[in-house]
Amino acid sequence: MLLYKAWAETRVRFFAGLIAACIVCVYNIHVHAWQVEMWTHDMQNPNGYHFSWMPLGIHNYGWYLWQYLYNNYLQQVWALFALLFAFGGLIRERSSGTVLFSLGLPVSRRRWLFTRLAVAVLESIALSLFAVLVVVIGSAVIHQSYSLTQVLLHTALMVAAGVFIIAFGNFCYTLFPGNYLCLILTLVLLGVPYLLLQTYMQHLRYFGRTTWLRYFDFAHAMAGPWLLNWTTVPWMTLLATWMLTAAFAGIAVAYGDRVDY
Amino acid sequence: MEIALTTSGINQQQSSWSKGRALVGKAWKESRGRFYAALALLTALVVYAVLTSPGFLARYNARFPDKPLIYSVYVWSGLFHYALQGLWILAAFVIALGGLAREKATGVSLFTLGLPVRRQHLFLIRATVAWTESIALGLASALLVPILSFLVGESYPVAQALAFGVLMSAGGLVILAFGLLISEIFEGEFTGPVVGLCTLTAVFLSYKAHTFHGWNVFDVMSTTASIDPTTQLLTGAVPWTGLVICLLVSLGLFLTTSVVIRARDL
Amino acid sequence: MGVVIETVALKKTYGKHEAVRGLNLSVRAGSVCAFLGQNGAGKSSTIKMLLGMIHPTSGTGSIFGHRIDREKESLLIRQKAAFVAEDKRLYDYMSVAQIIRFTKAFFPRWNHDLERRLLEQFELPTERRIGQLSKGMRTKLALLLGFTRGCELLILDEPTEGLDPAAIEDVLQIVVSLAAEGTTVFFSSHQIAEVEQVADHVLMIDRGKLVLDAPMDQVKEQYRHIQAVFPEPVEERDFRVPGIEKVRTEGRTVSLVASHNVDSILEHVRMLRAGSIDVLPVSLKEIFLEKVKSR
Repeated sequence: MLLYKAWAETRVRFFAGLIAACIVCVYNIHVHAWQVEMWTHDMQNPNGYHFSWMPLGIHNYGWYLWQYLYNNYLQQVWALFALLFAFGGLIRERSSGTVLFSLGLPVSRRRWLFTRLAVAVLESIALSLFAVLVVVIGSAVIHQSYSLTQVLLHTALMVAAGVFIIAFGNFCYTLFPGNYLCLILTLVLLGVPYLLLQTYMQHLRYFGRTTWLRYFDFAHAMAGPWLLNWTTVPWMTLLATWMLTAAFAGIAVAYGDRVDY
Repeated sequence: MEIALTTSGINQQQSSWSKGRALVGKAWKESRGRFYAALALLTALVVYAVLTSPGFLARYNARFPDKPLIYSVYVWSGLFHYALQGLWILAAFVIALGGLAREKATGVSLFTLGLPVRRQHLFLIRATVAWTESIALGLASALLVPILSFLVGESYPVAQALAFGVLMSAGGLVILAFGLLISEIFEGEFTGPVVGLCTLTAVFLSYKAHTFHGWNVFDVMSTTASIDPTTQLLTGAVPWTGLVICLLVSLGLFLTTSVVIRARDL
Repeated sequence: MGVVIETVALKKTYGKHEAVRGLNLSVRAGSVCAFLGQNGAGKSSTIKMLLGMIHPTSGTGSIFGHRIDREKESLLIRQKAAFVAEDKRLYDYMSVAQIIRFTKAFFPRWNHDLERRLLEQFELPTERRIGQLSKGMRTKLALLLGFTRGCELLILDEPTEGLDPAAIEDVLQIVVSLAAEGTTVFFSSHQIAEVEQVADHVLMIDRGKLVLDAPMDQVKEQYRHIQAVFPEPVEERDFRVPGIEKVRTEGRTVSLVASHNVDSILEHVRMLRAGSIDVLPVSLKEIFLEKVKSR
C-alpha cells in the first residue's frame, strides 16, 4: 500500500519523464542522418571542421547513440527526472495537511522514506528502459544497427551511477521543501560542482593527467567509455557514488527522525 | 461608540496603494528564494564560461588555426544563444510558478480570495513581480559578461551585453507568460513544472529539427536575425517583427490565463 | 482497570515558549476521557507527543506500556491506537474506497461490519475523490477510518468539528458504543455539551499544565455554585476555606464556586451570618471557564 501511495504521488512526473525521454531520443535519432551528412561534408571539405571523433560518428551509429544520448541529452533528462521523482515525502505532506494522518499509521518514518525512494529508483530504472525501447524502435525506423548489449550496459551504468542524484534530490527537498525553490537550488548545488569538475577534468585530460577527483566525476561515470565491458566500468567512481548516496540517505533519515510535525 | 465610515477619495487611494504594496510584498516573499537561487545559477554559469574562455579559445584556435574563434562569437554562441538562454528560460519558468491554483492545493486560497482583491489583480501583480525578477536576472547575468571579461584580459562591449540582456528578457516574456498559464491550470506542485518544461523542450527540439518553421522565440531571444555573422555582435537593427510577435503571443497567453482564473472554482 | 496512557513531567518547548509544562496525566483503560483546554493550551502538542509526531523536550510518557519517545515502541503504539487529527485532510488524489483500502492494509483487526455500516450511515460516495468531498464528508471519512481500525485506544482531536448536529449525534453514539465494547477513548473538544454527554473522565489543561483531573460524576457531584447574600458587604479574604475555587463579591452578594468540602463551606458562610444561601449545580462549561480564568 505504501508503494501504491508513492506511485500515485509520482505517476504524473513519471509519465512526463517518459514523454521527455521519448522526445529527446526521437529527436536525436531523427537528426542522425542530417548530422552524418554535415560531418561528412566537413570531413570532405579541407576548410571544414575535422574532429578526431568524426569518422566514428559517421560510420558507427552505436557511438552516435552513446555520444548524444548517454553522454549528453538523455543523461541530462534522466537526471532531471530522477531528481523530480525524489521530491516529496512527509515534509511535503506537512504543507498539504495530511502528514498527521500518515504519521498516525503504524508505519515508521524510515519506512515511509525508503518506500518512496525505492519507488523513485524503480521509476528511474523504468524511464531508462523506456528510452532503450524508443532507441530500438527508432533505430529500426531509420534502418540503423547497433549493439543492444552496449545500449543496455550504458543504461545500467547511467542508473547505477545516477542513483546518487535521487539521494541528493531527496536530501535537498528535506532541507528546502516546497515552493519550487528546491528544484532550482538542487540544480545550483549539482550544477556548479559539475561544471567546475568537468572543466578541471577536461583540462587535465587535455594534458594527459589525472587526479583523485576523477572518482567524483559522476556525469562522466554515468556515461562511461563508449565501449563498455567489465574492465572499463568505472568501479571506483561507482563506489564513491554509492558511498555518497548512503551518506545523503543517512542524513535524510537522521533529519527525518528528529523533525517535529 | 462612534463608528466613522469614510468615503474620502484620498483614503481610497492610500488604501489601493497599501493593498498593492502588500500584494507585491507577498508575491516577492513567495518567489525571492527562487530568484536568489536562479541568480546564483546564472552567475555561476557566466563566471564559469568567462573564466574558462582563455583556455578554451587557446585550445580551439590551436586546433583550428584557419577558423579562429573570437571572443564575441564564443560569448554569443555559448551563452546568449545556448547555455545562458537555456538556464534563463528554466529560471523564468520556475519563477512564474505558484498562484491561486497552487494555493488551493495548500489550503490557503480561501484566505487569499477572502481579501477584497480581484483575482485578476492578484495574477497581474504576481506576473509583474515575476517579470521584474526575470528581467533583473537577464540583465544581471548579461552585464556580468563585460565585467568578468575584463578580468581575463578580454573585452566585451557593455552596450552589447545590455542589449542582449534586454532582448532576451523581452523576447522571453513568452516563456514567463507560458509559465504563468501552466501554473494556473495545474494545481500539483510538480505537474505544472514537468508539463511546462516538457512542452518547452518539445517546441525547442521541433525548431531544431526543422519541424516547426517561422517565428522562433528562442532565436528572437538571442536575436539570431540581427547579428553580424562574423563577430556575432548586434548590428543595431532591432528585431521588431519577432519582438512584436513575442508580445502578441504573450498577450494571448496572459488573456487565456485571466480567463482561466476567472472561470475556475477555487 | 489498568492505565492506558500515562505521562510523567512531560514537557514541550518551542523556542522560548513552553507549550506543555510538566504534564502528569493518566487515562484508565475503558474510560472515555475528555481532554479540555483553551486554544493554545497544549492539547494538540500533548497528543502529538503521545503519538511520536513531535519529540518531548523532557519527561516521559507511555501508551499501553510502550514509551512514546522511542521510535520502535511508537510504532507499536500506533498499531493499537487510532488517531483522528483535528485537521482531517486526507490524500486528495485517492477516492473514498481507495483510502479505506489503503488504511485497512495496516490494521489486521479492521472492523469490516462497522465500515459497511458507517459508509451507509455517513452516506459517503465510495468512488468520489477525496479532493471533491465537502469538509463535513471529509470529517466523516476521517472518523470512519479511525473508528474501524479495531484499535484498543481511540485518540480524537476535535472529532465533531465541521459536522451538522445530526452527524454529531451519530458520532457521539458511535463513540459511546465503542467505549461500551471496551475501547478507551481519549478526545479533545471545545464542545462542552458533547463532552458532558459522553465523557466519564475529565482532564483540563491550561497553559501547559493540568488544572483538573477527575471523574465526570465526581465533578458534577462535588462542584457547587453557592450564592449568599449578607446584611453588610463582605471581603473576599473572609472566604479562604479549602474547597473554594473562586470567590466573586458584588457588594453584599457573594458567589462561590466550590470543588469539594461543600458542607464546611456552607457552615462557614452561615457563621458569617448570610441572609440567604442558594446552592446550585455547576455546569462543566462554568467549571471550565472558572478554571482557565482563575489562572
